[in-house]
Amino acid sequence: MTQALQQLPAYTPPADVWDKVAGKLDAPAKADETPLAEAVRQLPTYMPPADVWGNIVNQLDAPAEANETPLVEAVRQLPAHTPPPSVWNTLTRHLDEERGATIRRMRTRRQWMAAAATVALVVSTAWWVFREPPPKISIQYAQETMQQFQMDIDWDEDTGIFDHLDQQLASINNPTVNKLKVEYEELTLARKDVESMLKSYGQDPQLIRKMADIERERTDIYRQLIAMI
Amino acid sequence: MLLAAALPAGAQETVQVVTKIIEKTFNYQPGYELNVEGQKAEIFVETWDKAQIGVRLEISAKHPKKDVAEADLASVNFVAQRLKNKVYLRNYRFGGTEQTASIITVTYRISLPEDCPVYVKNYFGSSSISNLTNRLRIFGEYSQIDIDNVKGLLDIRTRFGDIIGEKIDGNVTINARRSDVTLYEIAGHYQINAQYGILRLQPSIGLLGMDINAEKTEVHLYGDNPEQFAYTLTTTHGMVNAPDNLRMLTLENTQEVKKVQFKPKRLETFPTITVSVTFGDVHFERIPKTRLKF
Repeated sequence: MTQALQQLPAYTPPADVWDKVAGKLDAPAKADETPLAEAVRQLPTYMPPADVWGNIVNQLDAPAEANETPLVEAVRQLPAHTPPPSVWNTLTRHLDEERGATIRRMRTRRQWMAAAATVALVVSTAWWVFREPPPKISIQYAQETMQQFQMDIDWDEDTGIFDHLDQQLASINNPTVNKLKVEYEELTLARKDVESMLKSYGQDPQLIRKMADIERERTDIYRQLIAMI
Repeated sequence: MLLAAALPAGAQETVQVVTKIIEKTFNYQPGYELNVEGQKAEIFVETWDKAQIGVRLEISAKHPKKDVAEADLASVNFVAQRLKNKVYLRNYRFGGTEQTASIITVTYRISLPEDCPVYVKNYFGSSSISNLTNRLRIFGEYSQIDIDNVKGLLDIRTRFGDIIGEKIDGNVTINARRSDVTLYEIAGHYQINAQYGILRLQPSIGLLGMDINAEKTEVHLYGDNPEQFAYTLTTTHGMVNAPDNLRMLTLENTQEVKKVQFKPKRLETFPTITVSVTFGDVHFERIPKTRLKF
C-alpha cells in the first residue's frame, strides 16, 4: 500500500483552484447569515412600563418581612428555657480540661525533652569524668648477674620408693596409717602443683624453696610410715 | 662452648631481663571493688588519698639470651579492666604446662582508696596488703600473705601459704591449712580454723573475742598480761602450758582430753579466748623483747 502510494504520480493543481476553494468557503457563510439577521431585525421591540421595575424592587424588599412574619411569631411563642447552672459548670470544666490536657501534653513533652537533655549531659559528663584510658605498656631491658641460671635438681629420684611402700601399706588398715597416707597424698599433689609452676614460670628460687619445704614434710611422713610397718 | 664447660660451679652468669610494664588508672567511686587474680605474682596493695585505683603491673622474663626472654615474656597474658563496679586484674600463662626456658616474675603494685573492698586470689607468689578499712578477702595457695594495719571485715583462706599480720582490727575469719599464722597487736573478733601449722597470736586490749579450732597445730598465745582475758582451752592428745599465776580451773582431765578454764576476777566484762586443739599443745608466752618478728 505504502509502495503503491509512493508510486502514484505527483500532481500539483493550478494556482487559481485554491483561490476558488477559498472563495467558496467564505461565500456560503455570508449567504446563510443574511436571512437570520434579517428575521431578528424584524422582531417587534417591547419596552416595559417604568413602574414595573419599582414594583419588582419593592417586592424584593417588602415580601421578605411579610413572608417571615408567621415564622417570627412562631419563634416568639416557643417556651424560653434556661439551662441549670450545672450545665454551664460542666461545660466550662470540659473546656478547661481540654485546654489543661493540651497544656499538660505540651508540658510533659517539654519535661521529657528536658530529661533527655539532662541524661545526655550527665552521660557525656560521666563519660568524660570516668573515661578510662587504655593501659600504658612499655618494655624495659636490663642485665643481671646470677649465681647460677639453670640448676639441675632431680626432684624425682625417689619416685619409685613410695610405689613399693604403697603395696606393703595396702594390707594394713590402721587409722593412724590411713591418716598418714592421706597426708602423704596431699603433699604429693602439692608437689605436683609446684612442679607445674616450675615448668610454667621457670626455676624461680621462691618455687624451689617451696618445693624443698613440701619435700621435707613429705619425707617426714614417709619416715613415719616406714616406722609403722 | 669450651669456656662455658670450663666454668667452675658457682660462677656468676649474666642474664638478660626483659620487663613489660603495664600502667593503668581506674576512676574509683564508692561501691567499686578490686579483684586481683595473680599467678605466681607478688601483689602489693597500698592506699592513697586519690579517688582512683592505680595499677602498675610488671612482668619480667630472665634468660641469658634476649630473644628467648622476649618470647617467654610474650606468653604471659594479663587483664586490667573494669566491668561494672569491679576492677579486674589478672595474669596467666598461655600453655602453662609447657616448659619455659626463662624465669618469669610478675609484680602488681596497686594503690587505692582505703575504703575500697579488695579481693585477692593468688596461686603461688605473695601478697602484701596494708591500711585498708573496709573489706578484705584473700584466697591464697602456696602464697605468703602479709597484712599490716587493716580494719573491717577480713576473710582469709590459705593453703601452703603463711599469714603474717600486724595491727588488725575487725571481724576476722581465717581458714589456714598447712600454713603458719602469726598475728600480733590484734583487736576485734577472730574465728580461726587451722590444720597442720603453727598459730602465734598476740591479742591486744581491743580484743573482743577469739575462737580457735585447730588440728595438728601448735597454738602460742603471747601477752604480758594474760589475766585480762578469759580462757576456755581444750586439748585432745595435747596439753596446756600456762604460767603459774594464771590459775586454771580444770573441767576435764582424761588421758586424751584436757579442758581448763580461767576468768579474770577483778574485771566485770572481759573477752573470751576459746581454743580447741587436736594433736597439738597450747602455750602461753611472754612477748619477746625483739617483739614477734618472723
